[in-house]
Amino acid sequence: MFVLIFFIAIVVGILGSMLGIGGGVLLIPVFTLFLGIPIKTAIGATIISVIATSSAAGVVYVGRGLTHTRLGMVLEVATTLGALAGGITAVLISPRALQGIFGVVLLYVIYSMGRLPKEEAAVAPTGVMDTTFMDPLTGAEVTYGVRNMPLGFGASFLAGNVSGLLGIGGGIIKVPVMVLVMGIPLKAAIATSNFMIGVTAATSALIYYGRGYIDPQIAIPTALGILVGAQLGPRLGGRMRTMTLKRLFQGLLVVFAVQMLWKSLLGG
Amino acid sequence: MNVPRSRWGATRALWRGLRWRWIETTRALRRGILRRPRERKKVAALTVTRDLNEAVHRILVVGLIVSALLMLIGVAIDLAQRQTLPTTVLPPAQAIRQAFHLNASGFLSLGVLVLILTPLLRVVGSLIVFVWERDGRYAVITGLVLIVMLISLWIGQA
Repeated sequence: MFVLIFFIAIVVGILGSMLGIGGGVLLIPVFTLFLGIPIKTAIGATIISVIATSSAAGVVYVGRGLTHTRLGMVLEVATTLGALAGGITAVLISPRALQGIFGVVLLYVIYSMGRLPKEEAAVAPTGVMDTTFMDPLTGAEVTYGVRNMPLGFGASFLAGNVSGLLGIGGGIIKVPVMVLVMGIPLKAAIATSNFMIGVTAATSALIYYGRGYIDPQIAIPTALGILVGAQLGPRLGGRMRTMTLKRLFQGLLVVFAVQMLWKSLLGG
Repeated sequence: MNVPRSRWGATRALWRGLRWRWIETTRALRRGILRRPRERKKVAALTVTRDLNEAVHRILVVGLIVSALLMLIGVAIDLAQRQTLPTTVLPPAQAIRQAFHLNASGFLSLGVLVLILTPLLRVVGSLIVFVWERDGRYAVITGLVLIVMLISLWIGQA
């Protein structure tokens, strides 16, 4: 079991890092549908691996100065509150309901995967938390400010809530909102979202830990496997066509979403 | 003459003295997380952010390495002993005790615990930096995040 989970996690880590999507979205269906792991234990395991990936990626992003630390801190108030509410809810509600919600969120993820913004809207200083970073690709200095803070705060609460409830990172909600609504450059948005994910996931993980939903024999191979996979992903990425991969991934997720919803509605 | 007028004035003068002493000692540690606030006032806001990022950076690196090591030790002991392990993590005190007895379950639980506590420590670190910089607004914001995390810690135990 240990070795099997480790290898599954490596594969998911590779796929996730190539597509810029966290592992939880794929791991939870695999764990519950094929390995017969109870959904709450599966969520406990992925929330741990979400923290691990966030810390590992944070080391790279923060070092490069891409992360808008202050904006991250402000939005963390919302994401942690959301995660707290989500974590409590997840512990209390029935596994079937949780499965249903997961299926619905999965459908949203499939929808938004193809729609991740390629280029940001006009980026400009606004006088609110203006900051500057150097684009690692072009070497140009980019200065930008923050727009629509209340809306961003609301979206962050929702992202934290989904993260705490389902054991996923929540970047799939935060990044599009930060780029399209708040006027943050894509690279900075990804880095800042990742920065918040660690703290957000840790908030609900504290609840899962105390309540005994973290099984080390599942959580640890998952975390280690995802970490290894995330290191390998970018190295293999160049050899495969991302577009083909994305379509395949979406197809897989559709199957999983339907299965999750089916199981939730009919039980079993 | 700079005579303190009230008891609070004296306390503040003492505090400033202590602070200065602390600053002088940390100055030697060039690569220390915290730098002299006076020096900082002269430089651009960008450098402040970079200092903050550096502090955060270090906490994440150390936490991740320590946790991965604990997990690997746990896995190694587990593979050597092949005992049936508990299917939930242990409460912190018990985890430490088990680790002292070189039991796999202790190391595995501690690895998970360190991983979860790393972001919490990161928040504490940021809070200290903001207080040091006398940045009241961000100190409050970071304090709020910390409070929420502590509430969830408490809910997990209750």
